[in-house]
Amino acid sequence: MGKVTIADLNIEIDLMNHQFYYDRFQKYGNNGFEKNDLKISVSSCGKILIPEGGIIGQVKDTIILRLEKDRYCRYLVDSQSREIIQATFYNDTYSEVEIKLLNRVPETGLYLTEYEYMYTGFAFSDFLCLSGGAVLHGSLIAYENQGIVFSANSGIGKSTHAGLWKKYFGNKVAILNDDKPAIRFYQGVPYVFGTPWSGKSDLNENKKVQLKSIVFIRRADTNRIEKLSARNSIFNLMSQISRPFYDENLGLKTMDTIDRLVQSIPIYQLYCNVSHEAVETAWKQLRTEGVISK
Amino acid sequence: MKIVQGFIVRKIVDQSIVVPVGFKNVGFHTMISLNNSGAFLWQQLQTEKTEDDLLSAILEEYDIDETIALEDVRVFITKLKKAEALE
Repeated sequence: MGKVTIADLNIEIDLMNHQFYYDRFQKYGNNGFEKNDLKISVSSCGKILIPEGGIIGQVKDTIILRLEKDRYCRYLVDSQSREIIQATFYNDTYSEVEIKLLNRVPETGLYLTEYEYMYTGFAFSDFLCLSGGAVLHGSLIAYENQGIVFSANSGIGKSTHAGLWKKYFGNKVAILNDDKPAIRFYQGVPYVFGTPWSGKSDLNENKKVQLKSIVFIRRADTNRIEKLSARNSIFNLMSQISRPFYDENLGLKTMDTIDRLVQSIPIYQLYCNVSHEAVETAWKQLRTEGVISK
Repeated sequence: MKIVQGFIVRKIVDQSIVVPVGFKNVGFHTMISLNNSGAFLWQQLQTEKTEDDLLSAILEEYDIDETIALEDVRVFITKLKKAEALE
């Protein structure tokens, strides 16, 4: 069991893969708290039994059950073998989460640690969402300690673009997270944190910076940037902030956060190729509009 | 027809937006924003309505030509059907 603080949330986390813990969570270690906000444990076994409870809903191969006394279970059935691959047990505040994984992973192309990564990420995201924050799919950089998230669907090149900022600005830029940074509001101001859920790369830092802007990325031959209307900002954010289907309340909370974000910071669409000019295009716009200083 | 469960309208900044929450959220990749008359029709469709009901309601609410109103109602219904927001 490790004690970590991620995005100012005190978490007790018990992972199966100790190397995974060491690689990703160690730098968030904090033995200084007694009471946790969130507890996540992961274990594996040879067979996951179907828990007893009333079915609340089913989406594809995922089934959601209400168990006794404010407890819930969400489990995933393998479409071929019909075995339960994973089951997540949680309370109504998402503060106690137990994840069980089948130790013989079916041929899904994912390793057990990848499931561990994914489901601990969901647990964190759910709790953060109830706390008024959100996990945004994107690469977070700190430019002179000012947070900018480059967001896009997977494979578009947000990590590449973040890497270009690092390449061209050197020590002025730190990549704080390469996949799932966490956003929280403090007295109405959005801040963004590095988290251990940084995708394929280990690029993440235990740091918090004020969120100055979100830039959605699209590939293009020529570089240009435009400020998004409220409508298009909302549409893009709805695509890149996960809104859990298994809980309407969480879905609504996410919309609250999207609302606050759109009202707090400017949001842009960057059409770009892989070049120094792409970085310059974004940087100039953010500088000219006073979004970032320096 | 009426709006199926699982969709809500949220006012975000100056936009009224139809948002799927819960199970309706899965596989929903479009966004419907509503203007004033759209928001009015959405409200009407919280309970069972026919096309004629909607036409009467919108004619009562807005000073609008009947032919244009009927066209608007039909376009709106088509949009909602496409989004599987109607039952």
